[in-house]
Amino acid sequence: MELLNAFQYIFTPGPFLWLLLGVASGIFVGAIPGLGGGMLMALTVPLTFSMDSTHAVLLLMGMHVGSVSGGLISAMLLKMPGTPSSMMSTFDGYPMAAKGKPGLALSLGIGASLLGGVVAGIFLILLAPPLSIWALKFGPWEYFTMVLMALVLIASISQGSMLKGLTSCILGVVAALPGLNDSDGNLRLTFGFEELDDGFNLLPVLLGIFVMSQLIKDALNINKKGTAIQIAKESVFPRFREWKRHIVNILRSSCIGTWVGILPGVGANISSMVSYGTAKTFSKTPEKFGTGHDEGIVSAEAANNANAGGALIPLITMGIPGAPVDAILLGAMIMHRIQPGPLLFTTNGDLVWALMGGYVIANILMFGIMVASAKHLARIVKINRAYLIPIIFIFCVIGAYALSNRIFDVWVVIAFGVVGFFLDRAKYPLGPFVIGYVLAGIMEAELRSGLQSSDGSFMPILTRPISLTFTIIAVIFLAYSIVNEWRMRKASTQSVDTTD
Amino acid sequence: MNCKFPALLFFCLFLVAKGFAAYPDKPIKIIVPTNAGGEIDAMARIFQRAFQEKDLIPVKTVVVNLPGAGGTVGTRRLKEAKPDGYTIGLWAPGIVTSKAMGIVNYDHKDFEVLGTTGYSEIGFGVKDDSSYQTIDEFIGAAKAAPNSIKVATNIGLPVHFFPFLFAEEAGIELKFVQSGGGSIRLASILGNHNDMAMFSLLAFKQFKKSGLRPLVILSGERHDLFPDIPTAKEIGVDLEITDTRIWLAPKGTPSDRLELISNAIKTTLESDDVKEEFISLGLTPEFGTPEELEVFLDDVTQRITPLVSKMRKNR
Amino acid sequence: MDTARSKFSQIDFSICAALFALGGLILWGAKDIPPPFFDPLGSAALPKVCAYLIIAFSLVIAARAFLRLKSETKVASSDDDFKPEPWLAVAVVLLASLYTLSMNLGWLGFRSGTVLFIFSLGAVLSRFDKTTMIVSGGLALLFGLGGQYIFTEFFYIDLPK
Repeated sequence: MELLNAFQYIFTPGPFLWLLLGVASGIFVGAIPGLGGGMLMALTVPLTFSMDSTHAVLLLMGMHVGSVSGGLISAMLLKMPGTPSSMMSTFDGYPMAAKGKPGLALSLGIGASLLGGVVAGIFLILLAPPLSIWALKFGPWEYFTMVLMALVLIASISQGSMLKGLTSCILGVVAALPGLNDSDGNLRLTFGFEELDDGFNLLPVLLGIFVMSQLIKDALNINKKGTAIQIAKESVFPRFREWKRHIVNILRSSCIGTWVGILPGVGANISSMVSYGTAKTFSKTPEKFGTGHDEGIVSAEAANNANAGGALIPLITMGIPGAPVDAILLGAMIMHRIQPGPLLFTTNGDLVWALMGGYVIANILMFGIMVASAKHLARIVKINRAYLIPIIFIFCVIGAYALSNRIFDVWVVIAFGVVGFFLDRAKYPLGPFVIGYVLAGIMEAELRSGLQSSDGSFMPILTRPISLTFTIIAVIFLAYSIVNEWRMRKASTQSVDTTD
Repeated sequence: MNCKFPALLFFCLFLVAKGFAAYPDKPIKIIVPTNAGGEIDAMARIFQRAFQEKDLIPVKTVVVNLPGAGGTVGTRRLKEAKPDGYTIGLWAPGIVTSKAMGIVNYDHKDFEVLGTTGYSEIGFGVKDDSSYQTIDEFIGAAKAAPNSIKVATNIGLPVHFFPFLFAEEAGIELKFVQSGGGSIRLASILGNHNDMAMFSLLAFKQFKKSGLRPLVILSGERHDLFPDIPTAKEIGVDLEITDTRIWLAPKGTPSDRLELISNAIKTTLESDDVKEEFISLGLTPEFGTPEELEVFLDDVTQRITPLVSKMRKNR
Repeated sequence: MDTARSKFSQIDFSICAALFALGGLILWGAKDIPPPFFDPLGSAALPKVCAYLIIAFSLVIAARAFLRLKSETKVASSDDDFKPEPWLAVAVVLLASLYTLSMNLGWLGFRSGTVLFIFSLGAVLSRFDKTTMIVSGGLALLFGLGGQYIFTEFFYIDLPK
């Protein structure tokens, strides 16, 4: 009943327009590499001081949902993820678009985003309290083994040499090493360079590896004529037949996305990594992943939108933000004198229901806007690179600089861009680099927390049921993929050297 | 030469005149060394809004979030900013723990302290169904089995040092487990991954229904919210600490400019609506002078510095 | 064909050398990391493992590249149906660095730096095509002035002055 009231409320002009504005600006900002939803929300919070608190929350929520989805546009069309959460969409979305099917790639991504959001919305509305209590069972060992499993599942994510993929992954880990180490409160590998005290931050590294390196590559290949990318004539509106095939994948990926979203401190990019890896494992054609495969697009995009909904669950039920972006939402609530926490349902029930209803409607609005504008957005690829390259770099500068107002982060973008460019030239895949970078930090921290609590024993990996499950999956898959690799090598000893 | 000289003179005069122009004549930046959305950020913005609405500072104030490296990215920037009164900052006792840990080589003495606004009372707590019903039981259990009770912390920050100080004073040994920021720490207590952690009294009130229960508070006397919970002093542990919010400015900022800002801060704190907001944030709306803060921070520094080497020898 | 192959191996070798140096640098930096005190691993464990792996991998990759150089196998030629412009790639990095440096050292503020950067990089990338340069100039003014206005006046980002 409350939910119906909430929907009714959202469809009154005031709240609806704020939500719409949020979604539209979120998509726009999300599609621009360099600018992301988190930045937009943080910058908007002070502007909402004088607004009605529910309007403010709806506006910010819309921005969040919009930006998570908008990122797929640039990820698929330019191979530059618009937001960190859409990085997995470059793996299959871009190759598919490059093969001349940008319309299909966008339609899969947009449709999966919607369904992921709706599935998470259902969880949010129906199961928020039990889910958030269950999420508390996840301690250091569970986090560690879950991420370990994800790492194993996507280990062979890229085409080409396994050895180079591994090297690239370890380089990513290395990029995550410097700076203040939370596990013992000491600086590490900063070489006395104060700017490195906080290490290399996620956004500048990602902008460097994916965006800057691509800008350099685009300049190098500026004579390349429009390739095959053409704006699709067919509608971007997803077809029903297409979706029946993906329904299992979508449901699974949405559940994974929701679940990872609930876990505090884990971002949306990790949820799409886990679900991408899982989709690959369950797929009948795992070898097609990374070459423009529809299952890859669907799993990544369903998961990152579901993540946004999942992250709201602990926020609403316990006052614990599920992801960094939700901390901003939390902050906005505090500034509007709303105290989040378990009492929120009783003290501000209307707001909670509006928030949950708003999340679902934001996803639907996102879908409408994206479908209506995707055709026009796809023209980005046709823009003269002489305009596009400098402008995208400017956005990278603003995005990186705004993190902590320091030029150092801009240097990080340029440096990692050059590194990424050369690695790519030498056929080192860049996907494993960012996967290593993103996952290494959380794995090391959780493992060390676990060891601190177990007095140095590794046994909890096997004695805790959830950890054990993850470990078993990881081991089975590892064995399976090694055997598979060995078989394939044997089958084609001739081509070993060329695939290297 | 001939024509350059008057121009130069004129330029100098211009500079001097500019220097004499009434302060402030451009926006004042408030550096907050955390992400947007945190409690300190919320407080800075309460002041920002009040300065504007009540017209206490004639120019705009801008909150600049500079998160990273345990707040040292922001404090370092503040320290290196021009001491012209156009950059100030808001931070917490982390200013001394970062130096103790060897992350930076400066503390509050390398800044001008404007004062403190509001402090939150803190305490140690456990999960509702924890086997430790009282602090005495807790200490007894810790004595019976040293190094077995797990404390969720953020290593090197006050949430680590204060429980450690408590353990030292109470003569017990606790096991510290890195878990992270406030919400993650809370989740690790509620999920039974750790036994005890430090929270503000507001958190204890807010998350009472989620199953968080205080054992002991570190204030001077018992609090109205939890009249049954003893203070550390009552159980014979000499530890009285509150979590303050500290306003800083770069060393060498002219005192008249500091005074203008600190007057604005004081006036803000006297208004009823701000007081109310403070209370809802769990903060006591009191202004603390730089001298009071000095005493407090010196005491903290003196007590935690020897702890660092001890802590590291722990294992 | 032969030059393409040796060129590719050249990149391989130089990256291997860089990796080797990086491994050494990490090991050297890891020496200063204090021993573990809160957990048995400590902060030095992961860097050391990474350094050893990087060094080992770089040696293997170098060895393979060397073998390939000697062997008869052909490297698939790159899809060069267009002329690559290495100097334009260099120009992107160079101009981007110059732009960043000028803001870093306070020579230029965000506004003037951005105007100059968009215009000059646009001009270089279009190889001084007149129409493109005119549009670039317009875009440069739009983003330089507009960007400065939106981000400082509206969103309060403290852009370099």
